[in-house]
Amino acid sequence: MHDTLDERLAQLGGSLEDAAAVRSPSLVRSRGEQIRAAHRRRMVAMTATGAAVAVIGVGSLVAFRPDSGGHAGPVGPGSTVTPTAPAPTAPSGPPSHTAVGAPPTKAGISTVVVDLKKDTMTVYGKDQKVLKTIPVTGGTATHPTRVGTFTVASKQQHMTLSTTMPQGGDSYSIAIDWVLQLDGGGPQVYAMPWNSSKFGQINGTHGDVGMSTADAEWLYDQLETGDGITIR
Amino acid sequence: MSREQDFDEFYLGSVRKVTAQLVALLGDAGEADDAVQEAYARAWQRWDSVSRMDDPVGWVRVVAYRIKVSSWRSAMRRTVAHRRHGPPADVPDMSPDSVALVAALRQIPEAQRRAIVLFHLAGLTVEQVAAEVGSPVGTVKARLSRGRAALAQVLGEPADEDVKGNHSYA
Repeated sequence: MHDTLDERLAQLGGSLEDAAAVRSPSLVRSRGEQIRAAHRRRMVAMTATGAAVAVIGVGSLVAFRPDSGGHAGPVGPGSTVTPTAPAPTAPSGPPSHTAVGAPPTKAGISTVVVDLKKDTMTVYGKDQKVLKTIPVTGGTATHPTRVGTFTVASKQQHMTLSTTMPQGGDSYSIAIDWVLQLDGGGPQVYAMPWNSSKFGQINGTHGDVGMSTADAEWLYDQLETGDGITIR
Repeated sequence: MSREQDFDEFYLGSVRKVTAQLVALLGDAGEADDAVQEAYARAWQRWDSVSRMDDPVGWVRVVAYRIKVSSWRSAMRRTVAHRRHGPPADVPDMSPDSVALVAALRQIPEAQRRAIVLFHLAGLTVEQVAAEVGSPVGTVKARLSRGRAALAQVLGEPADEDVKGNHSYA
């Protein structure tokens, strides 16, 4: 007699586990590091196209309402913001470290913390002294910024953000500069000159973290892909 | 513990289970193996994020499954994986009943198969299955029930419900 289906499925799990191939974990890790290296090469290759996209994007920025919150456009509830045609830059400098989430390595930075209540980003030096405090703006109550500790997944000097509205409403695309894209569902951190009245004052974005162009450029230069940023 | 040790422990502790689940989901041991190794490589690539997740094993399983769902990508990646690793590691033969069950699972609709594998092989609750596949709990229950009936039919035996009374997925 056959066992019941439940029992047969349970036995199937065990039997397939016994047959499963196990490789050396170090081999798997080295494959993961190869993916990173390949990604980095792709980013370099795309730099040239990036400049052209950025020019188009600047035109769009002027055409839309630069004083509105968040992504600086007519974004409504339920809209989605998707970065398209990313125009990544070459990562600055050689790939000095391949580990993800390692502590920041340049300029003696140890920690970067965004405080959404005070609307500030505090950058700590190696000696735990405050190196720089940057006024920022984060997501509104209805579009809160994700909190947690995130990793800089990629850096892009210019990129184009485009938004499509449900029900075929307005859509727009804007160019943004000095973009740090965070891993694990974290927000993007970039220059939002159109939100200058909000930095250090109130949260007025649709979830991303904005700051002045000068501060965003400084931060971009300090952090490498793989560095961590804590948002709370 | 170093990050490497941490990852290695995670890999060695979970790779057999995840591979078994992917074999049942995909119906092909070689493809499942490739997808799983690739998913673990990606987990290491972003280990600081993945290791802090509530369910890193679930992350690897979902990533492996998505890798395979897109077939042109899988074909490319398989070529790369073979070049890199050589032929797949020596795989012991599956038992005749396993072969029959995996073949039967391939014949039922994909959504039902996924629900059955996650519930019966991965040991998730109905709620966890619903969260992983992104469907309502009621839908998952229906897929489980229909999937079991379809599976029983393919295997040429009466559905369990007739033998054991109504199966509850509560």
